[in-house]
Amino acid sequence: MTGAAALAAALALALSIALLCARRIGTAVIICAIQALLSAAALAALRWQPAATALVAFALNGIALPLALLRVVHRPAMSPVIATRNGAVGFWLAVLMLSTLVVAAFTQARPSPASDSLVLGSSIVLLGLLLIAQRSHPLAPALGLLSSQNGLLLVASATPDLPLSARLVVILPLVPGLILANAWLRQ
Amino acid sequence: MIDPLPVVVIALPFASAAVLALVGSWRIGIWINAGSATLLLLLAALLPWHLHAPVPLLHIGAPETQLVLLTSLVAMTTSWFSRRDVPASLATRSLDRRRARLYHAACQALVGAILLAVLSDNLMLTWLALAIAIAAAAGVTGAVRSQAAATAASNLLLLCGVGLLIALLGTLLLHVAQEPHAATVRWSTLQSVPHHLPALHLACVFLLIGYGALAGVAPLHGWLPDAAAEGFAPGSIIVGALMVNAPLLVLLRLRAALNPNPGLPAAVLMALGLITLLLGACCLLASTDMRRTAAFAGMAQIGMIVVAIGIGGPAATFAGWLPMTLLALARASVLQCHGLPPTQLAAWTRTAGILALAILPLFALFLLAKAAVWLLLPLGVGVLLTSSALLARLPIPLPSVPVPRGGDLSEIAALAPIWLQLALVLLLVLAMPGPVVDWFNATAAR
Repeated sequence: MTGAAALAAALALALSIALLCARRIGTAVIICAIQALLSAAALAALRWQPAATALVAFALNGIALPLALLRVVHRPAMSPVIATRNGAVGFWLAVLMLSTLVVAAFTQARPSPASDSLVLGSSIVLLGLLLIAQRSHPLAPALGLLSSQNGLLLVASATPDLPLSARLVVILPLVPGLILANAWLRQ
Repeated sequence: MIDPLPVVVIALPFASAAVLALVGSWRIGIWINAGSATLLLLLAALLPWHLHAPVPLLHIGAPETQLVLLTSLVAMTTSWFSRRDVPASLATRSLDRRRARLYHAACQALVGAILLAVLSDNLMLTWLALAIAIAAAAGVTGAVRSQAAATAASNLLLLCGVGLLIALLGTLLLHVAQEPHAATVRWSTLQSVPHHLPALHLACVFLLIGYGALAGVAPLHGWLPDAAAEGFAPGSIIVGALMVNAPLLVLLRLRAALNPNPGLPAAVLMALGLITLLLGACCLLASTDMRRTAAFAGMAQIGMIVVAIGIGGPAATFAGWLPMTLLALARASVLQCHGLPPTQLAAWTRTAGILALAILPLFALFLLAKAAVWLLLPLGVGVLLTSSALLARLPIPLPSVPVPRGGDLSEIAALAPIWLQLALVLLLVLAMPGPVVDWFNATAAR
């Protein structure tokens, strides 16, 4: 089952790059929701116990928060277009390669059954943070944190013997939820 | 047998926050806030007799107890300070009843979350407590009715949120780094559990950057001056002077876990500390507002403390830990002078507070003996800039119109908590009692 998990994680990483290239905020939210579905699929493939955690993670990261984001997106004051940052794609890819190399070196030194998820998850987290640093849209921070949360789910799936309390902390999107609540209130 | 005292110390502020959220009257809220903070200080004063008490998920060590005492003392003086500031803000309409209730509840929740983060022995619980603290800090900062305060609260949420996510990534990597894998990672056993060294170093770098953001360490420091300068004055004392201490304790614990092979994380810690020190010192030179000045002075000194933690060893840790205590007291004193009526007595109190802030960088002299040669120049420049920028503001000028000498009963009651804090600073700097020296040595020896 680790092959299926690695495939789902790789697709989630590809969506992170798509997220950075998205030009409409509505499209970016949908990409983020699909990424959450793939992360939950990776959890399910790695037989995370209890099994409901993958479902809860998808319900929160893939349905509840994206729906709330779409409600904010559709408000009249919100621009639907993400500002373009010329020449930044090459920089993102360079950073992505660098971060992947660092974590890959780390996992090669300390191999585990799901080290692919660890490498890919860490890359997704860092790309999510880059999306925040871009500040290309008022909702970019919430999207970046949500994408990073998806990456953290993958990292957690690769962490052996993680206690239930830690799993709960990882599947609950506390930080993106806070940022979204703030954006909601300020609008 | 579980010792109930630490649990009560943590639960009291949370229970008060729940009560304050329900109480509609701001007048009653003020008294519940002040009463709860005073009771908390009385209970916290008993903690030194409960060191290493057996409580699940908590660790009652010397540094933890010291931070609990410091937090509860400053929370108490601030709650008495807000007894004067809340009605004044209601009168100027920068607060309304709903916002006053939000401020009181969020303030107590913030104190409770800081105490939980400090006393927690579990990495995930610490993370969760700091997440609650960030949410409460945003509530405290944004309580006042102004666009600048709302922006400061948003910045705080965003930058600290990014820090929390990076710290969570580091915590998960720390789980992976343990050999053999353990179900839970505890602060008290982090040093003794064997780790895969490169994995530990990578995890620690993420943890240092993540928790560093919550302590106001560069590059994610931008929230701290805004929160201290734009937020509601009493709330900004708790956020700016107390909340940063819990992540600094985490940095201290991580540095201890890295012994005897500090490697890359210690270098990262020193580099981040130096950047914060120099950045804070440069901003201090350009600052004109008193609250922002206190924030930049604090930022510069947090940088110095981080450098001290990065250097490691008992002497350097002593040189970082003592200023951290003094900084919280001095910053709280300066910020509590905000909004005082312009009398000679108040001006002299504020001058004493700035002077206390200005002499703290001199503790870096302890570091110079232990620091590497390449550290001496930037450390010395940062310390000199910080001290000279603060000393250049003295004495605090009085208004050109004749001002009263001050000294009536209500003014003395308002100034008494500030004098208490400044007296503690003076005592710790000039004549630290023997048992207190032993206490700091026990902390530094970790």
